[in-house]
Amino acid sequence: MKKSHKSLYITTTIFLAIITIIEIRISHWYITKFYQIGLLVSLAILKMASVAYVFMHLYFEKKLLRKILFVPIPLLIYFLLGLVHEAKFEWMIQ
Amino acid sequence: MNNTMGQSIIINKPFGDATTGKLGMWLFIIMDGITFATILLGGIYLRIRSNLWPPAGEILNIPLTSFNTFLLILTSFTMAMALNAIKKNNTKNLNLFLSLTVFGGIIFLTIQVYEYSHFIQGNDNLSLSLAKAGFLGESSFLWSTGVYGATFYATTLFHGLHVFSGVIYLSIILYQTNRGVYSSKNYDRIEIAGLFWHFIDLVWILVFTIVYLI
Repeated sequence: MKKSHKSLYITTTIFLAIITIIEIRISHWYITKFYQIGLLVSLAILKMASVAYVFMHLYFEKKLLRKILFVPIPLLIYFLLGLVHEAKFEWMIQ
Repeated sequence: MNNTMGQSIIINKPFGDATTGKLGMWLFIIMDGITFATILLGGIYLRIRSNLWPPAGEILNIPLTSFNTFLLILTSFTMAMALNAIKKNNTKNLNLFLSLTVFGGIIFLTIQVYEYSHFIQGNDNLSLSLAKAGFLGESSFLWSTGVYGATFYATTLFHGLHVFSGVIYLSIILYQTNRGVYSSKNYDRIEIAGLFWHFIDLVWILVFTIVYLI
């Protein structure tokens, strides 16, 4: 019989729900836009990684597949840094 | 494994037990992910350049969309449980969890259509919110309501179309389940469909953060 991951799925679902509640709370905080964006994006990445690793079973896949999937990410970060550089951070420190 | 000459052959499986179909879906997910990233980054760029961008919750309904986010997380759980069920050859639970996933997807789409119709029809409260955000004289929030409207509709509509295709995809899998196509030895297509559905959830997490919360 194949291994069941029921408890892992339940834990991940609860974890995702809690993080979502925290995200909604953060969006109402009166803090600098720079910190707010940093927190929200970090939490979103954490949630996305949880979905990919647990629900999409990336954790149980071979390393090579994981490596291939992570190839586009540095390119996207490079592109994003270019955009932020062009804006000279003006919109983040309003 | 031995060949006909009796020599041992080492089979190199760089992707383990992943089938061709599963690898194909992963490849599709990479490409679709890049498309989504382009749309989101394009939106970020337009936001940087735009002078008129309302703060979070000014126009968009965050509580309603938060409910949609929880709903999509729950459907990811039910999809994972559907795969769990077929691995144990439990077609009854597979049917139940797949139905719940499809139902969740339909509710998500219904809420999205409700949100759009509310924006398109417009009302006094919306006019007030739009005026407060700087869109003076606008009574409804459309794709032509500045760069903000165009970005909002392009991003959420593209995601909504993915949910719509996901619902159709899972409905076909559900139909096949009812015809007894799947068993504990034949569930590859369910796993592949599940990958697509989880990807929709994964993308929504980012869309919700960037479009609604930031």
